[in-house]
Amino acid sequence: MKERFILLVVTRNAPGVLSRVSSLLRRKLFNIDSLTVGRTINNRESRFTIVIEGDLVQANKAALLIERLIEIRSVKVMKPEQCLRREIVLATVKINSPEQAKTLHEAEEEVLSQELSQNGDLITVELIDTSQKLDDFLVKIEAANIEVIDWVRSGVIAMKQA
Amino acid sequence: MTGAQALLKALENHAVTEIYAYPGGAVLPIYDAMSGSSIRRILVRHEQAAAFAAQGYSRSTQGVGVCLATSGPGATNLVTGIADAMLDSIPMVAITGNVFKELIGSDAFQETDIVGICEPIVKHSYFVEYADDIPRVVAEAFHLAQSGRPGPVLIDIPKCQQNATVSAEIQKKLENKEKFELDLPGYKLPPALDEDDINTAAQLIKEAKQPVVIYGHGVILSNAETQLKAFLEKTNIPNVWTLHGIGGYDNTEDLSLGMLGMHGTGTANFAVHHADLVIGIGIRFDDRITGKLTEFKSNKKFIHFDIDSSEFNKNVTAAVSLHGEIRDTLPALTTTVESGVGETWKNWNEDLVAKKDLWPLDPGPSDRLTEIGVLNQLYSALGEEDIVLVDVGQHEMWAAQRFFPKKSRKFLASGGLGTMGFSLPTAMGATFSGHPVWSISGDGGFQMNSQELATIAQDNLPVKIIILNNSFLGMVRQWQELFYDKNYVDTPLKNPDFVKLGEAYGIPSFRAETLEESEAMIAKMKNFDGPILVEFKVAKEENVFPMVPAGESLGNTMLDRNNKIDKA
Repeated sequence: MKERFILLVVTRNAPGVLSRVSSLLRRKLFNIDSLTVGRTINNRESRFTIVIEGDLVQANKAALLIERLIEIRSVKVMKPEQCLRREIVLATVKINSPEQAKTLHEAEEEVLSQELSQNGDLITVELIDTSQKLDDFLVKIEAANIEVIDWVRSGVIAMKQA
Repeated sequence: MTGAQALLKALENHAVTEIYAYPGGAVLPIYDAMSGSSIRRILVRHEQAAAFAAQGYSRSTQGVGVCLATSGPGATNLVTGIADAMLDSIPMVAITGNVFKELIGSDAFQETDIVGICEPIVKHSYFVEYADDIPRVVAEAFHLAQSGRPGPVLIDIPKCQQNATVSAEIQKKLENKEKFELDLPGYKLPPALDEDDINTAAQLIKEAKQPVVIYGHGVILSNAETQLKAFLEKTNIPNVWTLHGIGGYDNTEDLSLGMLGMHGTGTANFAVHHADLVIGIGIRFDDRITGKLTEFKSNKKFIHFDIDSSEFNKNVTAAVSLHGEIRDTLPALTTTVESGVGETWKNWNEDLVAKKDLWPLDPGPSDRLTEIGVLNQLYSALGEEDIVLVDVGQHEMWAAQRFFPKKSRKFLASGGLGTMGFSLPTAMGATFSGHPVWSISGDGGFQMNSQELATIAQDNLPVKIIILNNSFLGMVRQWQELFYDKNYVDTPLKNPDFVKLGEAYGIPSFRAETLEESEAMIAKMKNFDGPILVEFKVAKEENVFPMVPAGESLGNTMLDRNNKIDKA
């Protein structure tokens, strides 16, 4: 059965590591849903959050292959529900009516959000939540015919629940 | 001391005595420094041959071969040899020059991103940004190449860092032969063995009725030959081997059933097909040994020994996976498994030994000269230390079925990548083992690296060169005959006169056309001092059997054109 798995990967913070990890997944034909990377509190380490589609066997295979790369410190395979997950969206929308403005505000209240700028009828918002709730936000505003001028997602970051 | 001098000093400190190399613009500083180094240069005629010669040294000696090429085309010419080393887990250090750091990324003359190109085919790679890093990178490269699952490591050094002066501290450490600290925090060697896994494996063996051991390259790479012998002698489990397992155990024992797989023996394939327990030792269940995977996996359990945990559950799901150096993990099982356990499968063993007599290997025709005839004569003439390097194709399989060296590292082949042109350049490196070296190629494969006759002549490398000339790309022709209605497209070859070719390079060269001439030539080659080439004109359209047609099950092994093992 196809589902999503999250790989939590700690690597050395060195040039080329991102390329080694992503090209490995490409050549083994894994479909990457999302991949984020940033430094940890240790400047010499990077932390990847990779969301892949597949079954548990495939996810474990991917983890073993990644672990084989020399610059990898650790790999954990997680089911999404075992993790705290967050993603950020920046979106610019065009509001044409008071009804649309109301819908936007209602949708914003469903997620952690703030309006970053306004220029006439163009509003740029920042939204933080799970990927699912950010998808829901989009469905809601599109249903109200709110035009999305620009939309960017960060990809998921995740950590094991403490 | 320059970066180039530091590189050579670091290599010397790692006991490197030869380097297989070809000069060019981006490695000129290294070549300039070579005149002050103890390292002998072997001047190949194509960089691919440098990579294979380095492999030949590694494969035959347990050392780490080193090759060197310039940037751009020099570096890309190494690629096939590096990929071959990766698929066969051969330790190797490949060094390339690159353009000045300021020019990297500018599409400069002879610039290629060799680190990027090689990403999927190396165990690890380095782009050296600072000359001071060179000795540490060399130390790490040798450690990575040899430890765990071995493999090739690439070091790409821009020319500016070859020219740069290293710090006094680094120079002093190099001159005093001090060790450079490795900076490999993520590199993990296998953990200690889990005792529960050993007990489970011993229990599975106790419950088995028809067990088989498949052993492979991992046994040899882990130097676990004596440990394998102890295990097989205690358990009396029938054993088969992969192409790279040849020499891992005494293949002439009664319960040694033959090579497994697409051209495995009838008995080996039969045994694995009908086994209820397969113990894979240092193998990766490659498609060439499993045949149709779903049938291979059905009705049997697996115990899998390997150094690389990513091999576990890749092709087959094992009941027990034993992760570690086989020389450490296998003795634990040998100790735990009950003595006399082999009584349980006595009948199975007797049946298999009977099958061996029923399905002998084709002795070859006596009325004409064929590959099998030459190989039989060669096998009889081989000394215990002789090293045989085959190329790829029919002769490789005929030899693999028939050669049972008493020691490991005596039968060398390009297994995973299956590179035509492997034998001749790899044999050059193998001569540095100090043992007699025989290179066997077909007429097709030989011409993929025949330029190396010049290297062999220039350095007087004592390679005994056998060309089995059937004027065809024999294995492809066999497939065209059996599966494509004899539609021989581009498999017949119009060849040069190989004797004249050898002579043109100054290598004593001869020809044999009959079984009698062949036998005399093998005897001549055996006692010949220095390089010698003999072309054997063999029959054109012979086929390799047994054979499992691609995608079919081991149960469908064709013993010959008309008989399959499960119907015979």
